[in-house]
Amino acid sequence: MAEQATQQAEQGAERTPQWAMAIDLDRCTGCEACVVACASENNVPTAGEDQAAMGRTKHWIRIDRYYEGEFPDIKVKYRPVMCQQCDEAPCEPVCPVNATYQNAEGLNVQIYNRCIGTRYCANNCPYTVRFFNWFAPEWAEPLNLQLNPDVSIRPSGVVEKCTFCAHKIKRAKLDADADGRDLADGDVQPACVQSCPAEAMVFGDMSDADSKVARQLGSGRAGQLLESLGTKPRVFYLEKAD
Amino acid sequence: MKGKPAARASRLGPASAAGLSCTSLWGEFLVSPAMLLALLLLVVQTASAAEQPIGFSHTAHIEKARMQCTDCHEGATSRDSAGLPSIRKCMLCHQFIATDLPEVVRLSEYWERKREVPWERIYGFAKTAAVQFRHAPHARAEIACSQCHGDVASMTVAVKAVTHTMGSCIQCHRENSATDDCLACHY
Ligand code: HEC
Ligand code: HEC
Ligand code: HEC
Ligand code: HEC
Ligand code: HEC
Repeated sequence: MAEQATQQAEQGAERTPQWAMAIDLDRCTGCEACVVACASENNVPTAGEDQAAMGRTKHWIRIDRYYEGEFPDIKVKYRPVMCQQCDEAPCEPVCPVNATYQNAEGLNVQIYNRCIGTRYCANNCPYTVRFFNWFAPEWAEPLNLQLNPDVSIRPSGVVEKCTFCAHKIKRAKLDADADGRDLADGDVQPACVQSCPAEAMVFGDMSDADSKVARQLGSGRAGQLLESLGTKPRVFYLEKAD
Repeated sequence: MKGKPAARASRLGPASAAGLSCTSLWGEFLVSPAMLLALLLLVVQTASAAEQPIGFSHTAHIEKARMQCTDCHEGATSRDSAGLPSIRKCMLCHQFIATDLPEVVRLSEYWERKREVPWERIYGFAKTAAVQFRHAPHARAEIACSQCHGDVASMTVAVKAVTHTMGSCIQCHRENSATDDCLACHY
């Protein structure tokens, strides 16, 4: 696995950060602070009762639960799942208009302007982390006043998903440029990472061997979700090796 | 489009009445063909400006008051948005300067009512365009305001002199080997 990570880290151009995330499943308590933080950071609307009943909820990040054992000797494991930012993303080649692609920093990008809403990408995603906007989003007053101006509101008819908080990456770069310095490890903190009370999530540049995330990927505990599909996600899950 | 001439006319209204009744200066202004022509040119020149609540003048402030763009648009070099100045800033000067000019009188009326001037916005993208523009990196790249806003220093109220489209953004980005990654502007 360490090998896989190194290989993925090296493919980027020189000095271009290669963003990746490591999530320590032994630390995650399933508290869902990340879910709440993500929704408010990224202007993700709630679907409402009727739409939710039709399975049309939108959560850029969710907590999957796994139960082990028989009641009452039950053990629960939690796994936060967001867009895995795959290097070999199944969503990309099926888009007829190139609205989704991988950029030089390894982000799987979704361009809402370009999207025509075929939903092929969402249907081809093995992680089911892409969401179609059946309706234009609405926020009851006064919640409309808390929207994040750095994140565009997605109109109806397009697919949206986790961006690794691309706006925060941009912001961190602008701030670094303003100070005339390079981005330092830890400057970019997606909302989920920032809000995790157990500090289970780490985000950073995996092509920088000294970064926290690179060290975690080299720990021998890192694995990827549905690894056998060969999607090469940029999200790595740390588990006790067994 | 028709807004500005109307604003000019209303500005002349009280003054011309005064001109007819007493001051010879305004009387002369009304009859002089040269002045009328000048007025006409002014109207034509500003015909594409938005209708603003006050006949603000960029020229007056840059040439007479010797102000810089960033004195009023504080974020234009350092932040995302350039921003429009608060009336507090205007009144730092206009409590004392040019208090008798008709447009400044109208400005102080807003001040007395403790209101901001409801400026009509000129530039900007529709929310649905999902475009994120940032002034700071352009200032760092030493791109002049005029490349994207025209010669504002010689305008009265700002006129939309440059149309911003994705094509114009990308063209300059390519010429300056700046980014053309979709994610740079759309997120
Ligand atoms: C005395 C303060 C002041 C100064 C100095 C000033 N402006 Fe303005 N500017 C304003 C005000 C007030 C408005 C709103 C009225 C209008 O649109 O003209 C405005 C509007 C604008 C707009 C249109 C904003 C929009 O989208 O609605 C632009 C562009 C602009 N200014 C550029 C400049 C540039 C470039 C300079 C320097 C050459 C400059 N300004 C100097 C006060 C100022
Ligand atoms: C640094 C001081 C200063 C500030 C701040 C300032 N002004 Fe002025 N303003 C002037 C001067 C000087 C003149 C020119 C007076 C003259 O023509 O004799 C002027 C003229 C004007 C005029 C008359 C223009 C004309 O030609 O009729 C208006 C209207 C005006 N200002 C509005 C504003 C507004 C609105 C603001 C705030 C956005 C503002 N000013 C901020 C100094 C200032
Ligand atoms: C690369 C092009 C570009 C340059 C250079 C530029 N602007 Fe802008 N400006 C824009 C765009 C695009 C908008 C609309 C922004 C939006 O809607 O987010 C804008 C908006 C504005 C506004 C309206 C208020 C706001 O912040 O949205 C003002 C005032 C303004 N610019 C002033 C300036 C001044 C002063 C300078 C020079 C220091 C400058 N601009 C340089 C492109 C530019
Ligand atoms: C006149 C030339 C010019 C125009 C017009 C222009 N830009 Fe730029 N822009 C630049 C340059 C040069 C840079 C690179 C600054 C740097 O690398 O430090 C830049 C950088 C940027 C950045 C920061 C990119 C990043 O991620 O590092 C954004 C965002 C941006 N421009 C958006 C826009 C948008 C949106 C428009 C159209 C409304 C636009 N620009 C129009 C010259 C221009
Ligand atoms: C330098 C900034 C910039 C970059 C890079 C950029 N765009 Fe745009 N794009 C814009 C702006 C500004 C608009 C809005 C133009 C308008 O409102 O008139 C826009 C509008 C659009 C639209 C909507 C057009 C319409 O008429 O509604 C689409 C689709 C689009 N962009 C796709 C893309 C794609 C795909 C890429 C990457 C290949 C991309 N853009 C890269 C600035 C950019």
